Amino acid sequence: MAETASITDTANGAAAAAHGSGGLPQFDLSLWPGQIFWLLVVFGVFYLILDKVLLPRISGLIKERRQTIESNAFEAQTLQGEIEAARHRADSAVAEARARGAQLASEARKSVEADIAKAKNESEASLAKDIEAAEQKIRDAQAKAMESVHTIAADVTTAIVQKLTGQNISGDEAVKAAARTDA
Amino acid sequence: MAAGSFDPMHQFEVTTLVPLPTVAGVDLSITNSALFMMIGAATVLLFLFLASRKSAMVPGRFQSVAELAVEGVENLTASVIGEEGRGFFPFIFAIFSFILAMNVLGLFPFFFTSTSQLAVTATLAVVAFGVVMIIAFQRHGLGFFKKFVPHGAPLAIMPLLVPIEIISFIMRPFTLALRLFGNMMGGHIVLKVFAQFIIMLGMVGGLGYLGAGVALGGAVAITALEVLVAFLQAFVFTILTCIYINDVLHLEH
Repeated sequence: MAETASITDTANGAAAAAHGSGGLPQFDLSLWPGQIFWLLVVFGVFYLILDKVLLPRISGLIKERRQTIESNAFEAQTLQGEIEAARHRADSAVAEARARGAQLASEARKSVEADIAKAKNESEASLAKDIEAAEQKIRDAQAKAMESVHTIAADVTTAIVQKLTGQNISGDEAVKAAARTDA
Repeated sequence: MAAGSFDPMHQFEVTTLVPLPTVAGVDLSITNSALFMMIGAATVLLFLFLASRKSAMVPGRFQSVAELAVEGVENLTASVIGEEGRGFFPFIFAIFSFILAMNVLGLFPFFFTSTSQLAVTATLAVVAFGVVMIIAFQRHGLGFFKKFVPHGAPLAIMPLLVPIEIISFIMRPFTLALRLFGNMMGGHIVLKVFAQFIIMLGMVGGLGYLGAGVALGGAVAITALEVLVAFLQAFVFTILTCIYINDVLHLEH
């Protein structure tokens, strides 16, 4: 240890002697001008390259990215608005179609109902005519039948009178008599 | 064995690597200190250049780191100085990345730590403070001196207050320089001493091996701490520069 220390001391001494001063090498002022010169040169060049080339490039990159993100976000927002509008349009088209469909259906129903009513009226009218004709026929048949009944009554009267009295009566009298019994 | 390797101050020796002539009393020789300034600056420039070369809209790993660093320092500048601080951002970024690169480079074995040289930290402090002074006089002209007369303080204590304000202002570049210098030099001395303990105790043998193990653990722990200090001191230097700029921009505060 002691030996090492003495070696160190001599080395220190040699270094100190070489620089013409004791203590720390940093305090040897003869070394300052060169370091100051080189520091100013290196820092000056360093600053200029940073200021003129590299920092604008990197700052520009960051700014460009921010702008891209912003413009993309804006575009997305616009597109979303367009989607909203398109959906709105689609919705209104559907509603319109639905209304038109309902209208068509109701029109169709109305026309069908009108057809039905017309057909019903027509068939009712023709039926009534048929019924009327049939009733007329019945009335005619009834009247004819009544006529025959009167004739038959007159004939029966004539026959009864002949049988009972043996005298012939005229047709007119027989008819009258028959009519009287009728009454 | 090189005797100098056991001297914890040996690592701070400035040695000439490429001898160059002396011009106007300034020895232009490239020293290890100058070399590591260049390596530090070149590392930052190369990294930022490579990271931003592809200019990808979706950044890769390196581009993300570069953008994070740039954006982080810019936001820091704006948060301390305000929105007009963004104009000073390139200078602030240059200061921060340059100091950080030199601090971190110094942690590699056999690498020189330029920021452990008082000449370097003092020059950086003078440059930073020079910028502060330029801003101050550009903004306010001679009205800048009103800064040393605090608002609303009683007239009676002015003779005391004004010198204090002036001295504290003048001390700023000194504290800037000494804080960085002291931290970097101190950390490296402690590292070196722990590293020496490992070898010395190892040479003793026996129980010494145990001690060497403890010293090794200590050296590892202090290396980790020094990484933190390297970042922290670059950050402190930067944020203090921001605060000083803000001070002279907004005198009212």
